[in-house]
Amino acid sequence: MKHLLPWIVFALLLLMLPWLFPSVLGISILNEMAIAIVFALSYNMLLGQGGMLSFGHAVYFGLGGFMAAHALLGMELGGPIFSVTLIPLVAGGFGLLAAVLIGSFSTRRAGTAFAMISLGVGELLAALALILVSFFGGEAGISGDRSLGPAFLGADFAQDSQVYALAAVWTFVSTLAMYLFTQTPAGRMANAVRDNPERAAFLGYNVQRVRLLSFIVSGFFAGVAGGLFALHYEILTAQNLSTTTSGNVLLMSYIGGVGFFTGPMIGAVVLTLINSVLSHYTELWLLYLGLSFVLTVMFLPQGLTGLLMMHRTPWRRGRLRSLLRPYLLTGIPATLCLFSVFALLEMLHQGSGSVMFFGLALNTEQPWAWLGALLLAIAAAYGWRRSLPSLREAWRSASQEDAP
Amino acid sequence: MSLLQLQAVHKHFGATRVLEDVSLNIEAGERHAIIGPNGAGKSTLFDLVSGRHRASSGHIVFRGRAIDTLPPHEIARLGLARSFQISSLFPRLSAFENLRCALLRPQGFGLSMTRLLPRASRLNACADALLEEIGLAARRDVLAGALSYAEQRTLELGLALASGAELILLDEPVAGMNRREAEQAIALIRRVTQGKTLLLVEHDMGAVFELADRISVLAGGRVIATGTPTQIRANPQVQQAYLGSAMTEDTPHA
Repeated sequence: MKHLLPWIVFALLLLMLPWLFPSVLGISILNEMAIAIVFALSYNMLLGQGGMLSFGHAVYFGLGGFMAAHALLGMELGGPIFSVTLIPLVAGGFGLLAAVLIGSFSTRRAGTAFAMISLGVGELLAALALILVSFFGGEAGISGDRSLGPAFLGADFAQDSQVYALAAVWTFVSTLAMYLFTQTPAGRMANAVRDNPERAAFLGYNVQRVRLLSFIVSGFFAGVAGGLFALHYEILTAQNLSTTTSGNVLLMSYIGGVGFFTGPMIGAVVLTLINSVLSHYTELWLLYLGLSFVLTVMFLPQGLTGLLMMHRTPWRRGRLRSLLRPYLLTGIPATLCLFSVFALLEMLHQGSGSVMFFGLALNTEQPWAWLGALLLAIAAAYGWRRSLPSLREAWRSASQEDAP
Repeated sequence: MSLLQLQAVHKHFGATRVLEDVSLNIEAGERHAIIGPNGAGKSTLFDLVSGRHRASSGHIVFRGRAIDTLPPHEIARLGLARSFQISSLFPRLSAFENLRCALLRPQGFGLSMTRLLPRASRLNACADALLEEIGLAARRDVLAGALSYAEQRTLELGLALASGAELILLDEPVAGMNRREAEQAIALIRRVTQGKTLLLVEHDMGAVFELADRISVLAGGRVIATGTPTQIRANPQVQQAYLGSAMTEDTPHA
């Protein structure tokens, strides 16, 4: 029962979120999150579980997506008609096929060789996408209509919310399947090969086979995510299998924490929010995204999930409350500092005229706006630095064993 | 026929000749130790037999089959397991998971994608029993990378023994252990290799004379003597190779 609890919570969340955010934008963001969760989990099957750093995972996502778009287009043009609930399966199958072909040579080695091959294949496919117009549709991409299949339980999937229901089911099933994979001999040996391929070989395992198996399963689920993408947007372009998309899924997994199964899920949710919410407010959101990645790599190598998990020990000891004050003492100046830096960046970006920043009209022609932001940034940085020793001390006493 | 045969095996790395014309027969069921001064080529010999490196010339025959061109995993599948002089574990997996990984293939799990490890009760019981046997039960869930040096050595031994292979190669299994730990390890090796064939490289002469039925002495890349422990002790060539150091210090003459 205890190990079922997280799954019940996950199912309830998937079920309740559309009621909490019923707007068109809300549902759309939820769809993006579901897609991102499946994609990031499939990526972490390589990076976190198998020790394979891929720069070209969008290939399987994109190829799956294109296949799904073709299946939708086929229904329009008199091809076979089938339920769109199965579109992710078609896409997954195609992602799997691509992974078998590419994995058969790319998984021979891990490390730098694997990373370089994944980058090369990614670039190759992105270039091909613009050349093979019949399959990839050139600059315009391939678009289809998701509402042409037979209705399923009365849903014709014309509405985003119906697509969400479908995506939620696929996300739940995919997440469960990927979790169960980590509990099989194949999944555990992927961890072993990640840690020490030579030892795994001396235990009688063909390490390429072990990597290839993970790679194929990962390709399947990346394809499933691509299929969900095709259903949500009804269009696929070369952008979707480019290295930008590959880089994005790496960011999600890393910021969430590659050492935990749930890490990429948290990363997917956070980054989808940053992508879709932040991009509404500022043109500089990519800069902030990049900054948060650099800060994560430098200060939180275990990602956001690692940060949460760090608090288990103080929580078990009932010392979480003792951290509240030091957190506030550090958090307030840190937030102020970051905000004034962001204000400076926004003013720099604007160049002339005034910038709306959290309801504050900053006039870039007025020297006091620049000076004020700069002084606030310096003062807050000073306060931030001063607060760190006491935070460290509080953290040490909260997470230490009780003295006998 | 011998279980393992080395036939005129040569190995050189560039101009450096490490092994020259090494021929050895390891009989099924014996415990065979290879001794020799540092740099004699003992570890290289293990690397050739287990497939980590390839011999420059000569043949290695295991169970009647030439294995000198096979990759390590195929040699392992024929029933050969080895340990390493420098512990080679899965550092981010727990001690229990390390042993379970070593048990997967012998227990027929292979690379299954349909069986769930938490439900494999016999496999898990075996891993726990082995953990108990090597004395690491209390450290079951500690990551291998966080174990102490001696514990890592013990787990290293456990990984080699878990396979249930017919031929077990142990590369300095008691190196760096104190007297008491070494004695426990020797007792464990003796117990677990019952009915198996053991090929052992070891510097600790106490361990060698306690375990080995036969000893081969490697010096300067050649086998200079093979025989029972009594014969080896009495061999003047061997004493010369060691310059009277380890042999006379550690072991009184019979």
